[in-house]
Amino acid sequence: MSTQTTAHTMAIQASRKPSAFTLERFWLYLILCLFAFMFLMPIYVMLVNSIKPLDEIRAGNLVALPLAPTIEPWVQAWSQAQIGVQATGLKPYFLNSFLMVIPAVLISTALGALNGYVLTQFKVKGGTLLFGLVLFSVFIPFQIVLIPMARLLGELGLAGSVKGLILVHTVYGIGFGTLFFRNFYAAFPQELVKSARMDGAGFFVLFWRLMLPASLPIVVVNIIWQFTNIWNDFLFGASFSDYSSYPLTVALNNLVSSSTGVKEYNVHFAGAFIAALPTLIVYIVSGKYFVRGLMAGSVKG
Amino acid sequence: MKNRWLPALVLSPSLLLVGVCVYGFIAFTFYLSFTASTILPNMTLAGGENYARLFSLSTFFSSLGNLGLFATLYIVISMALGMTLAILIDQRIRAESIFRSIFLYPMALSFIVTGTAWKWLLDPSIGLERTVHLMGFESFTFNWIKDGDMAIYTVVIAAVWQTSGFVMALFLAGLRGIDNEVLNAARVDGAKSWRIYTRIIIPQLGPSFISSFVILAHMAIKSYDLVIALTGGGPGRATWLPSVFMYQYTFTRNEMAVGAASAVIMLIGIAVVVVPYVRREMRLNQGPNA
Amino acid sequence: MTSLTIENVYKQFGQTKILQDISLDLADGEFLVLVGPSGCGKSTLMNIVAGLEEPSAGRVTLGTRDITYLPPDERDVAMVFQSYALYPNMTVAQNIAFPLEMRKVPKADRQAAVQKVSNMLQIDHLLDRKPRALSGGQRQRVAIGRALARSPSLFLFDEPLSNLDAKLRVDMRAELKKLHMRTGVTTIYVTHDQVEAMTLGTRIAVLKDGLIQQLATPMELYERPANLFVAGFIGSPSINTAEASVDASGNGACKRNPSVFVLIPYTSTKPLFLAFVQKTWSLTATA
Repeated sequence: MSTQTTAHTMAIQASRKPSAFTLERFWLYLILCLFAFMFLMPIYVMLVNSIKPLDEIRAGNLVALPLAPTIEPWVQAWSQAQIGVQATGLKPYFLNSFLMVIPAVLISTALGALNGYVLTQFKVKGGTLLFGLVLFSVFIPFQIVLIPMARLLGELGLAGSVKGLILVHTVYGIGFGTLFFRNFYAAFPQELVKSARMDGAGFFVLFWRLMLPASLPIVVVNIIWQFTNIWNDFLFGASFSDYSSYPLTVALNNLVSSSTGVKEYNVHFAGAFIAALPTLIVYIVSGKYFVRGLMAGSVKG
Repeated sequence: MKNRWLPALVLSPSLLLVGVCVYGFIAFTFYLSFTASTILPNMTLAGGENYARLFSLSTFFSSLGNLGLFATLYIVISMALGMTLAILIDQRIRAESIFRSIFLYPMALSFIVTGTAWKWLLDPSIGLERTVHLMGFESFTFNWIKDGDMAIYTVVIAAVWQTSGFVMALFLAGLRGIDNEVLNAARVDGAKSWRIYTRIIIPQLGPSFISSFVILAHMAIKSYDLVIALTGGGPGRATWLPSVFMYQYTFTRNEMAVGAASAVIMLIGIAVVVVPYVRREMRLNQGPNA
Repeated sequence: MTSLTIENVYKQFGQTKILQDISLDLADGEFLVLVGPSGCGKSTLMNIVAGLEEPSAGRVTLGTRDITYLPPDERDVAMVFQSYALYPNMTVAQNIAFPLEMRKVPKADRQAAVQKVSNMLQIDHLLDRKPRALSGGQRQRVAIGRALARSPSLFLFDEPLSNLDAKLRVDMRAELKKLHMRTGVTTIYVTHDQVEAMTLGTRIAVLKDGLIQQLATPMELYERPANLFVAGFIGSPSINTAEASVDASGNGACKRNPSVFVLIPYTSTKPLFLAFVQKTWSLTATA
């Protein structure tokens, strides 16, 4: 349907020759480029200043290109910068983030898929209410669970550990995953399910052989969304980790907000870039999957 | 299905986890807000005195005030900018996907990264002010980030930069869902472009407005990372939001019960915005479990 | 005089030729039907007349005005779309009044026009409803009402009955005919249904692959189709055809059954088709 509309749009309006260079189009592109410039500026500044020696930054202009580019700030940020009490750079914390993100994403995606499957294909008492509760849980301010969660992690002996963070992120990722998959499976053609059941497919076979394979794009969307959110999280990281288990965001903030000593802006920018790279790469590579993830939570009629 | 209990069994780990870690914890925090907890949870009830204390603290009031100001500007500007960008991009632009990618990429970044970048960008000694000085305009000042009264606006700037792309994506989807023949009918009926937008297109964007409002509002209330990275809550406490207040009072000032109370207030704020949305979704999505 | 003239209109997208050398002349008050299979270019032609598309070449004249490159709102043309295209956020009354509003007609006059039109189409009890609360047939009347309210010089109908169920379609066909007799507005009506074409049009233009195959009255199309395509397209059941050839002595023979001889006053070296409508033939046995 949308391709039809797009083609129709093009059919109706192609006679106006979108490539025609009228004054109106000129202004349109100009305004868009202006906005694009404003959106790109911060990351340009970050990049450019992350390869400048410190005196250049202090002497000069944030937007100017480096006169004597150096990768020293990046080296510093990665392996030598002072984070808290140790001068290890961001490397160990980069690792922590990975160790934290991957299990959390995998488990919450798996649970989300199963939940979505059950909620849409089987009569569960109070299923709509459950849906509502799960939907609401996704919006809660996490401040409301900080105290009891800290307590729980303490009781489980997971306080201040990466494992503890994995647990936290998994638990709070289940809601999102369930919603994504539920929405997708709700629109799944029922005839396929019925005929598979008549062919004798049981609970797990139906899931594993029919529905899950059909939902691979949603699996990808979910993974991308969870990865981005968990990698970028700060609040849980700051609340539940200690020096050895800081995720990257906490370490970065530590690096940047230290009030002692000389402010090494270039190292800060390099560090921020290092922290941003994984999710940026995922964004660039995944393109429309990223957008689908964004939209999945929102527009419904 | 042979095993009637299998679906329920499969759901149960998640139900347990979400039940405990979301709703159980909410109840716990709620209870805590009525106790006399300081450093550690203390289960003796102390009535509503924490709430009384909360509302007597000027820091809390200024946090609420900041939130009100921040949220209003953030929501209004993001929606206006997002809708504008969507309308511009919808004009059959060449390189549409490039522009879209450019406006949307900030959503992929952590708020800490955004805060770090903007912190130095807006810093008078090395950022915008200095850059403009070096270009010759010596009298230009832009030290909002260091100014107690103006710092909150820097948070608005950074937050709008981060999420307008998302609002744009929502409105773009809404725009593309509008039946093209209706637009043709309007053209034949004599409506000029401007009128078509105001009389026909924008009124049909209701769902986009609602969705973006709900999401922006709840993000505003939850804002924490950005404030910490951008201003640290400062200068002083000029950019404290309720989320910052909660963290400070719970973990730094050892007034856990007061912190819990502030968290409850935050939850209520979000519930007011989100519950109607959730109920609407529940009504629309009955599934086989009606 | 609001007659419409289409002269040598071409429409091309890159290499694809949608319309080729279309020329039509409509008299004032005529009801012309454009009929043809999908992809024949009829909708594109409509869009060009409406001003929603520009022709690659050619000219369109309405009355004394050259409207070829005028924007739609300056053409005094009204259009009824296949999907009705009602404004979903406005009531029926607002929908009908919209074109008048765009032309800055004062409120009192607008309301009067809405009343008049809705009475004529028997939708006056629906004026406060929104399109989503209407049935298909009701929506269609609102769409017609919206077009009528403007008293345009030219009506364009783009397959307006395609989305209705069979009975409603037949009823609406009769109503449209009556409406045309009452208002007398020059009309172009597009359809892929040849029954509709035959019943509604004063003249019919059969299109295929962007070319007019024949432009004639319904009877002429039926009795004297200009080519095989028109012959096969018009008439239900469709016309009978058989291959034939003519020998040197002027005796035609029908290939399907070489023992049938048909005398045709026609010589040709090219292969022939014989097409005949059942009722014009009777068989007599010769010994």
